[in-house]
Amino acid sequence: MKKKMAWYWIVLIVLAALYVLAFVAYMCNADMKLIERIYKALMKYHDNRTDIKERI
Amino acid sequence: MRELKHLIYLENLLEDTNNDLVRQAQSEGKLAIGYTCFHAPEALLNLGNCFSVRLRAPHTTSMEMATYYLANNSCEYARALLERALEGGFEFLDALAGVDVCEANNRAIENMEIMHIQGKDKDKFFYCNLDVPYSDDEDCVEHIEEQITRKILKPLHENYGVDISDAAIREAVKEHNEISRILTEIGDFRKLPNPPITGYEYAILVLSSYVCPKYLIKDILAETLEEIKTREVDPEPNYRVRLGVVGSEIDDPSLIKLIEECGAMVVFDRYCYGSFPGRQVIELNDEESALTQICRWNLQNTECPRQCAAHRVQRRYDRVDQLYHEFNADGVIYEQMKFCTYWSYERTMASQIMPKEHGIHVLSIDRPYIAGQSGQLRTRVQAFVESLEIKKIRSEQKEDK
Amino acid sequence: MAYNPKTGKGLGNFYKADRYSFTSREWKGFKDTFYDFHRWLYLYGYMAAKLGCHPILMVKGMLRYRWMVSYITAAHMIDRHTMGLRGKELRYAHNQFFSVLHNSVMGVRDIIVRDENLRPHSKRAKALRDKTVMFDEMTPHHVMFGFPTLKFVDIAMFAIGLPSEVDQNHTTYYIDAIEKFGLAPDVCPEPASECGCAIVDDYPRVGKTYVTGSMPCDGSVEQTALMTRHFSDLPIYQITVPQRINEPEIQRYAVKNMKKCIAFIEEQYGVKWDWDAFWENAKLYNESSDCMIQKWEVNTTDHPQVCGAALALQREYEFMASACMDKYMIDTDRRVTKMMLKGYEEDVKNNAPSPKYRCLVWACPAHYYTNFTYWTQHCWGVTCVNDMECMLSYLPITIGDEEQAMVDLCRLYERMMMRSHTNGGYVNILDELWKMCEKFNCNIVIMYDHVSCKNVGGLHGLFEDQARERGIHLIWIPHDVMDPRTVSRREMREAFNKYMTTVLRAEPLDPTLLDYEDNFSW
Repeated sequence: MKKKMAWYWIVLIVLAALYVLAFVAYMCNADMKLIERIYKALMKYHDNRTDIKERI
Repeated sequence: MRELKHLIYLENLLEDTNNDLVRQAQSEGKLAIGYTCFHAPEALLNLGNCFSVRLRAPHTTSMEMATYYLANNSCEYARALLERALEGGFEFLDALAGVDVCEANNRAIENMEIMHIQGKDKDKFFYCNLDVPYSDDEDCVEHIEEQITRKILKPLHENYGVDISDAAIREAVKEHNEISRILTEIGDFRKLPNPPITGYEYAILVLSSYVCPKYLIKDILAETLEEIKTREVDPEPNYRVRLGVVGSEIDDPSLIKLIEECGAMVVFDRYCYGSFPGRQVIELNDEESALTQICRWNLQNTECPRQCAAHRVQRRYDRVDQLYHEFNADGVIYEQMKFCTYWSYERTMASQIMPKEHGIHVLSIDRPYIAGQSGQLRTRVQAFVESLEIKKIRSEQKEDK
Repeated sequence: MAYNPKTGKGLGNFYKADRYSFTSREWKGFKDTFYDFHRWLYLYGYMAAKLGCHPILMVKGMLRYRWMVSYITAAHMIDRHTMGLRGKELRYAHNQFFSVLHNSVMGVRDIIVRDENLRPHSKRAKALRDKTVMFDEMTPHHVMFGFPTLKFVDIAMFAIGLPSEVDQNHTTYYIDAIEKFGLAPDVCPEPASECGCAIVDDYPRVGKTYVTGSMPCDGSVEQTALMTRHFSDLPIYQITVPQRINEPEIQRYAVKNMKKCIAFIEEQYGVKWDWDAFWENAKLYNESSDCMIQKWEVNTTDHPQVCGAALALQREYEFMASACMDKYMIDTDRRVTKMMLKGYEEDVKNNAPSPKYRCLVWACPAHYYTNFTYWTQHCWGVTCVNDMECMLSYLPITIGDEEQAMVDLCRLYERMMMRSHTNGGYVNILDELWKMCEKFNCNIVIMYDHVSCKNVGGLHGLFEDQARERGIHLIWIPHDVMDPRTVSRREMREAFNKYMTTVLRAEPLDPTLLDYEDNFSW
């Protein structure tokens, strides 16, 4: 029977995997690429708003 | 109407800053004090043997040199003045009372100062840059009083021995008031349905009073007043609508002429070099020093958009509203000198606020320094006149019904 | 150096014409890449901790305010300033920029929890608003030194000033909004966009009163008039600082005006001016100024340390946004000063190479191209050792003398950002430049030619004449401060490239940076 992995190893592996993933995301600039999509969508939303009343 | 007796003579005087009367006064030992802005109190530049000359640059064409020293987006008035100065047009001056009120004007005068354009051969020549406050409370009055004392009165006294006493100031104000009374009386004729004077003629008279020695122009103005009192008007008024002109510096009466050639009559002149403000009587009491009262009067009567306190902004709209009703105008032209930041904002705001909150029709324009021949402006004014005329006809028809 | 001559790859390759973001992040070597990566993690962690606890308000904020959308690109702002940097320079920049973002994140949080537009019925938000003073951007907030129980929020800075430096296209919408009403396009886009923001009602309402001022230029004066109208339902105070700031006589009026502002706040909020708090905050201000001066002193040597935007932007925000009261920023000052002194000693010891060219930056910079001086450094080896915009008030406040302290406080206002050189007469900008060239041993000046600024433009010819007499290279870089449509980043670079190739006959260090398209890039 296989020996069950200690919980701290699992946490460590998960953290390491997250770290590697984060680093890959960082190097690929994935965060900003995602934000670019959100930014474009929000700008489109603001461009199409009809509730803005312009007045001095 | 028959032409005014002195009109051509006055028009000729306006052809040059260093005109015949300025030269005459200097030959009589008077001192020419140049200035550009209402914020340098005119009365104080006419103390003793001094006389004020509000600077202009008539017939400016090229402004290449000034554009090099300033920038191509600097106010054309400031550039025209610097160009004229570089050409030697202001060498006759004995002092230059500048104000740090707007960037372009301030820099134009600083350029003159750094390059020693004026006063090369006059060891007593002085420049100044007044720090003018942005509001009109008593702290502001005290501040500007200190500035004027230190930067204008003191050098006038120390360099030229000019009497700067309270009595001398009151004497200068008296002369200022005499001119103002005459011009106010003439200006009030514009309130009549068929006025015996045109807006252009009035602009010539007012402008002459800014650029010529007061003691030499006073009699001409008084005589013109008498002439206007008995002047025979045409049976029907020869205008289609009555307009007020509000805005920045106009020292070129041909712009007023252009507006009137489009079928309008300019009934009030609320612009720099116009009569509002500048040609009102300064009432002095005996309790307080004349200097303090003049400083207060100036701060309270300036119409410059630089005064940004809320009550001052509101006062400017109310003032235009008041003049509009007093002079029975049909509309108002808000104009700005091209590249003037202050008036660009003021014009933008007024063109929205005046129609909405005061029910006043507004034409909003920006214009070059020399604008009398502008075809584009003519078209816009013509269209405005026509629109006002149509509105008038429609409202008359409604009343008839 | 970021450019690899073998592969022909350089920093310019990270830009793509149709992209807002970079294609990828730069490999800076193992140590520096991981340092940069950890700063990146820290930044997101910090933002998540501070703003993540208000997810609904954040979403509401981004849907209500167009300007708030620009803040999500904050990490890109750090990237474009740290790109190409290595070693200690990378560390200085990260520390400096993070302190700016730290302050901004707190500011955004302060706004969303108080804003009447986002939380019209919240009693908690109302209670917070009742203890908050709203400020205009071009009004320093140091008057709050003496009001420790009140909070201040610079609404124009958060809506216009800061986002315009984060996202180059941020203000164009607001500029168009005011120009539609007839404002001439030749006026400065900064006050114009602030007015545009008012016209489309995009300012948050986070306080009970509004304090504005007549600084620093004609456009700003008129912005004050319009903003005063926009907030006409609130009690307003306008600080009207004198113009001729070199004259000691003007201080009498300035002090009276400042005391009236204090009285206004006391009356509106029912609080008393607290001298003890004032002295504490004044000490922080003095300390921050000392740190700044030390940075300048080091930059006068052959081994300048904290250069370019890292030097300028941090000081601008520390002074203008936080009023030198943000303890994190002061800690950053202390930390960076310590690092800088150590770095300088190492450079001296190792006889490290000096910058290829040293330059000063003069006149108002382009908000939409804050990393321009990093570009000059990476592309041409022109290192900016000081920037006019960070040479704002550094004179200390006298501790313990109440009357003198008031004068010092006014002097600080008179010499705030965009004002210390452009107001008070030509000596402050023209003569001062030649003094600074001598002090910082520079014969190159990046002269920002803000095409809508009539103030600095008014001395254009004299700058040219006097620079020629002194043998100083004035490189005029046109820009339109907040409107990249008038002069794009690319055109700014072109102006610099032309001078470097035709006059100085220089060779670029990174040819990929010579010409690339970044009109969309944040």
